[in-house]
Amino acid sequence: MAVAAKNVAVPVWRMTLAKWAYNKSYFPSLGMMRDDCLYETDVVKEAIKRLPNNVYDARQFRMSRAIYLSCNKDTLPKDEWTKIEEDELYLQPYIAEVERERDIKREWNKQ
Amino acid sequence: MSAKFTSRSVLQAFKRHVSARANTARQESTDAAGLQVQDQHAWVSKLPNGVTVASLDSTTSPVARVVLVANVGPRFEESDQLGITHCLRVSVDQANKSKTAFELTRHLTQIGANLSCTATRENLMYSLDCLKDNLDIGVSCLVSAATQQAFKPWEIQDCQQRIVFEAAVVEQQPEARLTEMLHQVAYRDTLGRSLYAPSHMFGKYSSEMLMEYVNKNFTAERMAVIGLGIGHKQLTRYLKTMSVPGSGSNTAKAAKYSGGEVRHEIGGDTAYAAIVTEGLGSQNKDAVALSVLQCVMGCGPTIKWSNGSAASKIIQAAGQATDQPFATSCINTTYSDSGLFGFYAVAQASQMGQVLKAVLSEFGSVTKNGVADQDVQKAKMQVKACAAMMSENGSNVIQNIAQQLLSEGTVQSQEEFFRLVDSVSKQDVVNVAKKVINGKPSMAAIGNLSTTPHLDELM
Repeated sequence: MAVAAKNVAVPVWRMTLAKWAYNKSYFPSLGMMRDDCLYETDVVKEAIKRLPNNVYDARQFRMSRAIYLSCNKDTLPKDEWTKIEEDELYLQPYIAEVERERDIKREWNKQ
Repeated sequence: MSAKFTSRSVLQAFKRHVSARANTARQESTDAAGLQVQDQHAWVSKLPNGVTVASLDSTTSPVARVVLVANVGPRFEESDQLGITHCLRVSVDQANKSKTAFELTRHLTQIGANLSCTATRENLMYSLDCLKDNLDIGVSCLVSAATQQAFKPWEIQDCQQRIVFEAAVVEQQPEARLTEMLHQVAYRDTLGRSLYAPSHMFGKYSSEMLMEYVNKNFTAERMAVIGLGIGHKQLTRYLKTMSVPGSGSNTAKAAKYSGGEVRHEIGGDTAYAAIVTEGLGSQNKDAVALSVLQCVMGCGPTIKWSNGSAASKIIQAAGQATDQPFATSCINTTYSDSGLFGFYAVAQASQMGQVLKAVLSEFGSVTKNGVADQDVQKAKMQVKACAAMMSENGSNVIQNIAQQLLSEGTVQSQEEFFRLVDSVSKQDVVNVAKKVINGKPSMAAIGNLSTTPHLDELM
C-alpha cells in the first residue's frame, strides 16, 4: 500500500484521497485495522499462524469487538475509530515471508 | 540429507570392543610408510574475523569434510538455560538468515551432502560431508546453519517435539542415564550439565533465549573451522564471507570436581554402576600415561564375543567374583581441563556388590603393587592401535582435530601421539595411578540396586 511503502514519495493529493477513502470505510468505525479484514487465503492463514502471541490476541480482540458491534448494528464512538496514522500493517511482513517461501518452493519444484 | 541429532561423548576415545591384532613393530612401520592419508600435519591459520581455520589435505578420497566447531557445550549453560545446547543442536536444519529450512534441505540434497550437529559437553560441532566439487554450496550451507541462525519462533516451537523424543529415547537407556548422572554428581555445574534437556524445560525455549545464548557464546576465539580433504587456500576462500554472531570474550568457568554419590532405583534384572575419581585434562602432561593405565586396567574384551578375562584385568577380577553375566570396563573421559577416571560395571542385580568390590580391589592393587612390564607394553600397543583404527574414519579424524584445536590451539599429528605413547614408562603409569586413583570418588548407580553397596560401604 502506498502508505506502508517506506521509501516511496507519495504525492500530497494521493495521501488526501487515501485518508478520505479510509475515513469513509466501514471497518475503522468498528475499531479494526486493514490487516484484520484480509480475506483468509492459505497464505494469510499461514502468516496468521506465525504472529507473536500478543499481536494475535490483539487481532482477536478487535475482531470479536467488531463482530459484536456489527451484530448490534452499532459502531464505536467517533473518537475511538481507528485512525489512518494508528493503522499498522502488522501482517504484511509475515505474508511477504510466506509468499517468498512459496516462490522458492515453486522454483525448486520446477526443475 | 538428514540432520543427524547424535550426541556422543567423542572424547571417550576407547571403544569397548577393540580387536587389537598382534601388530608387531615391523608391520607398523611399513604401514606408516604406505598410509599417506592421515599422516600429514594440519595447516592452521586465522581468518580476519578471528576464527581459527585448519585443514588437512588428503588426495585419496573424493569426499571432503568440513566441521565448524564452537566451544559452546552444555558446560556453558546457566542454571536457567538448561538444555539450551540440546535445542540448538536439534534446530540445525531450521531457517537461517540466508536460507529457509526448505532451501537448506534442498541445496544439501541436490549436492548429496550430509549436515549434522554433534554436541559434546564442551563443544558443538556442525559437520558437513560432501564431494569436493560441491564444496562452495556445501560450505555456504554449513556457515549459514552454524552462524546465521534466525530462530523463527514458529520453527522453534516445532523443534520442541524433537527434544521431547530424544529425551524419551535417553530415558530408555540406563547406560546413557548413568553417564549423565555420573557427570552431574562429579561436577555439579559446568561439566555436570546434561547433554539433554530436562523435562521442565520442554517447550520453554524461546527465540530470544536462543539468540541471546548464541550472541553471547559464539565468539570468534571460541570457534574454529576444520577441513579434511580440502586445501587451505580453498577453504579460506569459501569462508571469506563468514561472520561471527558473538562478540566480546568470556572465559569459561573452570570445572570443579566435587565427588559424591547418586543412585536411581528403577527395578529390573540388572544394575549399572560407575565409580570414578577425578582424572586429568587433555592438556595435562600425564594424560597419555593415564590412557595407558586405562588399557592396563582393561577396556573390555579384545576379541568379539569372548569374555575378555585374558585381556582385561578388571574383567578377570570380576569374573572370579561371580559366574553370572557381567560387563565392566575402565573409563577415562578427558575434557580440556579435567577428566574422569574409573570404571563402570553392569551385572545381575544380586551380584553387583561382589563385582564392584572385586574391581575396586583390582584398582587398589595397582596403587599398592604397581603394574607388570608386559602389561604396560600391551597397553601401549592397544592405545596406539585404537588411535590408529579410529583415525581410519574421516569423521573421527576431523572431530579429533576440532577438539584439539579448541582446547589446545595446536593439532598433534598421529606420529607425535605415537611418540608420546612410546615414551611412557612403567614408573609414569604407576605415578599417575597413585595420583588419580587415590582421589575423591564419585559414584552413580541405576537399575535394580538391591545389593549395590553405597560408596562409603565400598571404600
